[in-house]
Amino acid sequence: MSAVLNELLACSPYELSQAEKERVFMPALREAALWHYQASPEFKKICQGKNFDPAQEFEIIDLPYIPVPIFKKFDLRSVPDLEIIKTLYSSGTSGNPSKVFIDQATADAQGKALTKILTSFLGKERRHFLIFDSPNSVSSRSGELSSRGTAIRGILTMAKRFTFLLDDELKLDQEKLEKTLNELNPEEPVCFFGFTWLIYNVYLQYGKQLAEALSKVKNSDTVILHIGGWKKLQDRAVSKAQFNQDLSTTFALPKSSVIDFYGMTEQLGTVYPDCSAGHKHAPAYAEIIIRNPETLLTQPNNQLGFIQLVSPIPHSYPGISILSEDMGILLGTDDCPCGRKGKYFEFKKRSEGAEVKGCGDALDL
Amino acid sequence: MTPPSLIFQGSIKNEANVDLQSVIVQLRQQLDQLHSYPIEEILLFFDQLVEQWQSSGLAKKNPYLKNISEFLVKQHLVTTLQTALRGKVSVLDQFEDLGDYKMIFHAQPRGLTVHWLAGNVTVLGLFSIFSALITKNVCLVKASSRGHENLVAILDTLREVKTGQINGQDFANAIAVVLVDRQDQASHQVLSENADIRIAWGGKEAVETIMQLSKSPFCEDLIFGPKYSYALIDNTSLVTKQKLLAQRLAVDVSVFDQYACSSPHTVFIEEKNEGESLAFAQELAKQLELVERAFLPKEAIDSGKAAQIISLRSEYQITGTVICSQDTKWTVIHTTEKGLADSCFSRVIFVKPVKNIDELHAYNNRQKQTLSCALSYENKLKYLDKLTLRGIDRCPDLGYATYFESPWDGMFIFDRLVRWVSTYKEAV
Repeated sequence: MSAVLNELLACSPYELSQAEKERVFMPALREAALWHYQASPEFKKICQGKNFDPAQEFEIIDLPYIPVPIFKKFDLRSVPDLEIIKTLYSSGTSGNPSKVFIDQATADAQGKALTKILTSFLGKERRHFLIFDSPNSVSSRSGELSSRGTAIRGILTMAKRFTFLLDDELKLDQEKLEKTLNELNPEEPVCFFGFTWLIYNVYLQYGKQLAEALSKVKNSDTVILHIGGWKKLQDRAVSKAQFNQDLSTTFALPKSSVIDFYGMTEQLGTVYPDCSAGHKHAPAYAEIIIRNPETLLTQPNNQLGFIQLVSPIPHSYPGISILSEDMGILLGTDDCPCGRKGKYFEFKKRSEGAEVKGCGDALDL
Repeated sequence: MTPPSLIFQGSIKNEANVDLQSVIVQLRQQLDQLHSYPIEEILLFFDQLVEQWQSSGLAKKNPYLKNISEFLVKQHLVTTLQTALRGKVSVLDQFEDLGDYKMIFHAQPRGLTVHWLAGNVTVLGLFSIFSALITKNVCLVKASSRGHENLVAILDTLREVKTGQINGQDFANAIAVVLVDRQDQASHQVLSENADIRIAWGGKEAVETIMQLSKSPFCEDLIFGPKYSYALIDNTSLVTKQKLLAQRLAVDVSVFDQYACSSPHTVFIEEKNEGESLAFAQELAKQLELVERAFLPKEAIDSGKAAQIISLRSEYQITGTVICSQDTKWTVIHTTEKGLADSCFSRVIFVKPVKNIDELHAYNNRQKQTLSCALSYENKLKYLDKLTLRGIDRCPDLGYATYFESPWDGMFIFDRLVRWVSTYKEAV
């Protein structure tokens, strides 16, 4: 890991003001941009296509981005194959998944960032993680991991111990849940964790049984962390507010303990959990830019646009600046009521289009 | 599911829960009135309609009326009708001698034309509606939920025109426009079963759905789409008039933002010297910028389309060359990939070099519609016969790709809208 990245990762994730953050963030980003420009032919071509030379001083908004679908179409690597220790696959909602190639340096940096970010939300004390998924989800096949497996494995580094609550068919193992809850030390803080849609499926099928069983969890510090996006739930017309309400009732927890966290396989490690004010924060190790979908210029606060995620952490693949197909708004900088510094934002929805199917809608060519 | 609503019949309406059967009965009652109009008077009527659009400023507000205005101008319409109706326009009024040694002929209207319009280019549906009226048919139009306001506003202008014999209100009474929920199978079935001609504008799914509806055995089908169009420039044309051709192609790409079935998505450049196609791509980019700024501003796009454009740009920055606006307004992609590019729409054009024009033969089938071209006359004769053997219905010059013309989609539309009746010249 380079000295500038080390220095950045040594920072607390949310204590630097935006100005202070930029002083440590930009040198690491400039170094990363230069590295990928030299090491990744694809990134270099994208930079050249935009007349961007990372050897020159640049502002963060000038750094070219790689749209997320490009990770589905190309194998983007900045290190030799031999250095790749695992390949991650995204949960692409349609078509091919993104492929992300991870080397040891990237894995280490991602792990460090993730731990620091989650510590800010879960505290330093390690928790018992109760996972709404099956143990199978984390099995790796020839070094390849699904997005669910990747996210769960990442989070388990924060766990004192963990228990999977679903069977292989993703049904709630009620016996196991009962047993686990019975054996819980009432003082021990617990974290329920899982993919948003999966937790909600379980809630819909076993809401009553869950509520009954969970009444045994007395620790008020319990949190529910969920990840993975809202698309599948939007298809069921479940809003985030409804989700929070349903879960906080069932788990008998305040709504602020139901924490959605946003993140992408293409930039693992830097995740964006909801703070107590319901906002997502850019940590010291990443930056958020919101771009107008038509002009591609940066949006002012409260204006909807594509979420661009920038982080110098990826070393083995050129994912330092990615443009997601998610839409969000920037809410402010350095002044969130929760006390965290830096930019904070809100995820709104996936980009969408009413596809035109007129007489120009061609068949297979 | 929303029940069908009537948004135009004689004038602009807003009637929910309309009884389609009663609309159909009322429309059919207009057939005799239309039949009584001489075609000369009908031609005069549409000529005056165009004048009305111009004097009222409607044509200026809606640049897409330019093409339909040119189509309806009397001088042009007479020729188009003559070509489609075997030489004599008056065959729409009476029996005429068309040169057969034994028979004389009369083109009668088929009756109720039912039009399913697509949301991509609302105004294209006006061609089938006006063509049906000109041939004295009545029209029941299933409009798209997108853009129907513009359609009925234009139809409403029919009422503002009067000739010696035709009151535009009568034409307006011969048209009903309805909105029908996509899921409302029963209402679509009513439309289909009552149609003497079904006219479907749309994509694969829409057209297939309509074709699966039951219909009268005597009903004729006219299908417009789903089609793909592209362009071709030979080397002679390229080296002599690159800038002009780039201007014209930029217009073809910008009109309707490529959502028409006749809009080109790929242009093949016959390249004799390396770099010629890339130079053309660069010139095309300049012209797309000028066209956008000067007279065809880009329509707003949704975030899904923007994401698609952005992704495509990055993909071809890696594998080809991309020249594009700073925003998402237009994109020129130069690539040596073989074949036709998938259409992205929204002013994204692929420029591809080709060594031998005959290569294009393999790309053509019935799904390909317009090959807009810049070919020397010799090359037209040399290549177009073979290129159009399996597909391609029209090969207009570059700059005219999206101009509605007759024939369209391989059909003389006026001919398909009439029923030919014959009798002997003299008793045998």
